[in-house]
Amino acid sequence: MITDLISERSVIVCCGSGGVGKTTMAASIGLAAATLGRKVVVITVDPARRLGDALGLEGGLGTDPARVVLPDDVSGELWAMMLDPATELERVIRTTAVRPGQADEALANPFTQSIATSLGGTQEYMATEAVYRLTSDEAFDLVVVDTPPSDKAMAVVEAPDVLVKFLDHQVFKLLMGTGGRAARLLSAATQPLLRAVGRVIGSNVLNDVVEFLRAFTGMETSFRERAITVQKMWRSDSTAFVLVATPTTESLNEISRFNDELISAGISSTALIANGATTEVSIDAETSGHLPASASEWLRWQSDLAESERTVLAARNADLPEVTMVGRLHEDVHDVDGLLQLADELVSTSFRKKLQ
Amino acid sequence: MLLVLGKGGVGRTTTTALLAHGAHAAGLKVLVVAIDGKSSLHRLCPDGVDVRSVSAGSALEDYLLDQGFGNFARRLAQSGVIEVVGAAAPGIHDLVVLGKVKQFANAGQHDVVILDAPATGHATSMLSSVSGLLDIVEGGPIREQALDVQRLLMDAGRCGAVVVTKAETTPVNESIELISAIHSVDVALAGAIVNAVEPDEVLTNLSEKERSRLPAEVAELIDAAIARHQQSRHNIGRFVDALGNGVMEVERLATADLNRDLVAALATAAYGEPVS
Repeated sequence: MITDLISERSVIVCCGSGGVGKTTMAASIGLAAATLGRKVVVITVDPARRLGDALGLEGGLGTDPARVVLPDDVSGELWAMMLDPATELERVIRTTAVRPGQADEALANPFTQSIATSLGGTQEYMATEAVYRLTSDEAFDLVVVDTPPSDKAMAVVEAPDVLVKFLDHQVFKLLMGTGGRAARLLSAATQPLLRAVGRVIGSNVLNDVVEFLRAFTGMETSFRERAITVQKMWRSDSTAFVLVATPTTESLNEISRFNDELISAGISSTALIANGATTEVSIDAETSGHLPASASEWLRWQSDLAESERTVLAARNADLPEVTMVGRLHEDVHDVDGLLQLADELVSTSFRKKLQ
Repeated sequence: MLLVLGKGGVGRTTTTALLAHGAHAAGLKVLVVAIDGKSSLHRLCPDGVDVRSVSAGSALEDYLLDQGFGNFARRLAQSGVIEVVGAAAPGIHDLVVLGKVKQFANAGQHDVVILDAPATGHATSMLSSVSGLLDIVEGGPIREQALDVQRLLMDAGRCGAVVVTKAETTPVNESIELISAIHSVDVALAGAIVNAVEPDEVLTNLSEKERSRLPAEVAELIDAAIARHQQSRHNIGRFVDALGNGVMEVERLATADLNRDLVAALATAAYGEPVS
């Protein structure tokens, strides 16, 4: 299942809660695709220093794709980058500006930078802009997206919808208004709704917001077009959503809630990776009878845990996709070799354990 | 008020439930607060413990309602314009969430309020958002709220942070960073917990001779477990050094399916039998 995705899809979105190994999985999915000869770029929206280290990228991940040095027998390419919302916003503004000087004006607005880092949803929206840009880039035939932890990942998926909704909203139209600048500020400030906002935050701040939005006049059309393209892309057959969880009730419940949100957004996930599964040991009774007491005690703990994991996976929500188990690693992945091992485990049929 | 802080996946929610069990068993009236609707606390906390969920969106709406904005509150929150405005005062969401928790703590209906905080990165920005806002906002209701919340957070007699980690290298590194972040916002450290410590100590009893006789498949697993055990002890040592204080270790049970009874058992193991 995973192998099919890795060889065919053009966008793979990895989703999961914090601490389940999502970033590492995204990197090894990318690497597995590169070993199949594909030209892959991995973009992490949730920058972990470890990913840059594991990929052997000196100085860590950059805001532009950097090529990862792979063993000679790997025919494809692997590139990696992280999302920097401020850089991405500048890039978007520069390519979207509709008149000379507009980009500089918009960027000079003090809000523009603070918006990129602190406006809820902006980071997620910038992620979709970056993914859009990478999918349109002929240098790559697969984009792997490492999303933020699942409570924020839905915001990435919904970012285009939110933008379209905002552009269509009466408040936005009110703020943008028509007529001269002074008239616009005046009319904005006299609207009851905006007066209320002004009471919370101060009317000077409100006027700054109006200035900020005004700087973008004329760019709405292309913002909307791209947003609609991404909305369609998330739901297309060439995109796969891969869920990552640990094999515990807690983690499966969380990923199931996320999966429900995807379903309500009209998106179906394609695979579920159960990461960090406990190794099962089957020893015959005779051998186990001869083991030292401390070894049997520990092995019993280990096999009870493995059995419990199998039980909770089998009892998972029926809406969740097929499970691919990835065993617990002996140590943290810290280089390309470690990732290759993981990639191998992810796709190799000998390791693939399907749960019925 | 206890703030349970830690990296994603280390078991903050389990620890929150464990603390709730301990406090409940000691006869305290406990309120557990989850952020953004994590529902598993209901499943893990004992009966008799109140569990409430606070979401950033609804906390903002409530705040606006409290401020007398009436029907505008909902429209403001839904229009998205408050989001744009909020960017001018970063951290406003965090503030209203903490403000809500503060309200619970001040209501006096509970002896202890335990907050299952968001994962590390966000949790520290949540704590620092208060002083950040105080730098930006010069007056008005938001400033009052920030001052109130800051007063509670910095009152070591009433509020403290509990840092949760696993014994693995990356979580311990991040927890050490978290400890200094907590110090820098002047929040008191109330305790530290190493969660899911595996019962591999027992393997260190194996003699060289016993190890050499193990079947190959078993030997490989056990060698890896012993190596992990040594790494864990080393990591816990580093954590203790950074804290300058002891930690409570909570063992990892042989189950993928924690429930209320198992957490109660873990709490008893950690705190001892409750005083009746």
